[in-house]
Amino acid sequence: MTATTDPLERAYRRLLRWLPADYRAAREDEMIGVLLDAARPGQRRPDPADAADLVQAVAGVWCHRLWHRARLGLPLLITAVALLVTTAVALFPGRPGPQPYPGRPAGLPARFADQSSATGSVSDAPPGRAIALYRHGSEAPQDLVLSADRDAYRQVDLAYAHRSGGDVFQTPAPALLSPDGTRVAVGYFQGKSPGLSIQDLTSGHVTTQATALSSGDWGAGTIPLAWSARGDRIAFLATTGYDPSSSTQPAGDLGILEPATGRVRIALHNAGVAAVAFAPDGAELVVQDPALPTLRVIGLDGTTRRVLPMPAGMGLPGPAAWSPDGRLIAVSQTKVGCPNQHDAGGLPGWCMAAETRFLDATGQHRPVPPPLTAAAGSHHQLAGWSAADRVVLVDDREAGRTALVEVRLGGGTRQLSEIPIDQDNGPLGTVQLATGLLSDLRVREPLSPDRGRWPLPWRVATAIAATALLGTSLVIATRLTRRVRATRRPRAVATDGGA
Amino acid sequence: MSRLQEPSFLILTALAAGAQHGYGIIKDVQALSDGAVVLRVGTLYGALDRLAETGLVVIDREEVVDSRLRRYYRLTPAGTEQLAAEAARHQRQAAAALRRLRGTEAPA
Repeated sequence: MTATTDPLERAYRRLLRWLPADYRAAREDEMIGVLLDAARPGQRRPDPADAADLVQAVAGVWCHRLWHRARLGLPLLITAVALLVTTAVALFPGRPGPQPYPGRPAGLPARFADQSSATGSVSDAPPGRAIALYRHGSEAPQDLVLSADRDAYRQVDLAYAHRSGGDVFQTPAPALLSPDGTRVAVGYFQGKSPGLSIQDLTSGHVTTQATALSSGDWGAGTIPLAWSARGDRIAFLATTGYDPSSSTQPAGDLGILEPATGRVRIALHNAGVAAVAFAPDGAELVVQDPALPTLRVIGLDGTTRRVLPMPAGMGLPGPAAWSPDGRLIAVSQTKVGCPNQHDAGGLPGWCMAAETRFLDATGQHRPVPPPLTAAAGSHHQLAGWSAADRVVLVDDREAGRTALVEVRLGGGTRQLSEIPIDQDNGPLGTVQLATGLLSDLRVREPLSPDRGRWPLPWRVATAIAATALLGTSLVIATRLTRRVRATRRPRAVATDGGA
Repeated sequence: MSRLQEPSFLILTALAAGAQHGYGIIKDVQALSDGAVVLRVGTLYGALDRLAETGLVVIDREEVVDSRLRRYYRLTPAGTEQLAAEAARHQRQAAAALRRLRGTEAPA
């Protein structure tokens, strides 16, 4: 073969280069001759149909080789079928989680399961209603939900799907568990369009509600702040975008979304909002502006109903601040350096505190319970109320050991659950509880955790690896069998001849 | 004896008159089919490979024309036999179709 300057011949030779070497040596020049004989005068490029025909011919030669010459047809066919089956199984959606059983008490394992990268997602295998939504670690953060009815853990994949670009890319989007534990509202720190997505934890179904606001400029960031107790309203902050790793508090429009109808109303325009909490009846909100030393109780239309004085250095501890009987509002003394939203899992107001005090929600200075003070060097975070006189705290009273404890206001503590921490992966982030399920909460012995289906990349990689192993085994077995038969055949002839 | 696909049948037919090279086969097949079948080179050589493997055609000779290799193919006795059998089958089927069209034969 000599080098050619004819572009058409070069193009054809490029296509024929993919033939097996021996076939190419035997056929290439002959085929080139026919191709050039069949070409139009002046043709410089292969016709698409000719090119496709040659590609098909090359594939045909290779398939023929594998099927007939190497006699690997059956093993390859079995491998291909196995690959199809395993890939289909890997991609097949999981079954929906159990439906909430009316009246059945929620449960909490005495010890949460360790963090595992094998934990599957809510979308792949919905866990059913959840008792907790929490973040494990900060280096490789996992936002997890724990089922209220069994030891099932799932990653809130929607929080990863809503991750923003830039500096906060690795930080999952803000997610908030509903009081009945059946839904998770997920926003954006820096989204492309304003909106909150709500995922049903029993079905995995996601609905997205636009939260476009009248002021127009806000909305690229949408941070869910609080669910109402009945789950019919979500307070959110619409921002121009927010970096949760910054030391600043977000500002924007405080909106209220009714998930059932998609109705959005603006309670406060262009406000600084550190945290909010709904009153038990959902008709009022207590709002903390980080620039003010007071708390404001507002109606859903944003009108101020009353102003509550707040002790210096304190703030709302999150959406569970208001007691279920409406009488008290909890405020927490934040630790040094707070608000650093990294510690709080990206949700404003969720900081570990050294002390929690109680205010009279009516503003009439009625007697309130004594403060709750964390042990020296430790902190706690208000996660919810199990009764009008009992709160549930996340408590890191011992180094490396975080616990959920129930504290009776005025005295008495009961440990509910322990949350293991992987020290290499950083501290525990926000722990949210399904506050509506805490009044009848049972603690159970932990069972082997159900982590759902492996994450999709794991499943696909495993399917491919298993299929490759199967294919290799079949090919080796086929060749060994053939070799054994070949060595036995002459012996049989010799035996016959000797008989 | 397996039945032949139309391209293979036409290739064998083209070779029935004598040995031909690849481009000659392509032109002949086009003429035999009144232009209905235009073999592309990949298809031609795929078919020739199969026909050679089943012993119906063999390489007759090689020539170099204008610095290009030309390889001529011819029918083997088995190829001639299979082409004859296939042609007879086609003929019987065509005759049956024509008889029915003329109304001289009723369905069995």
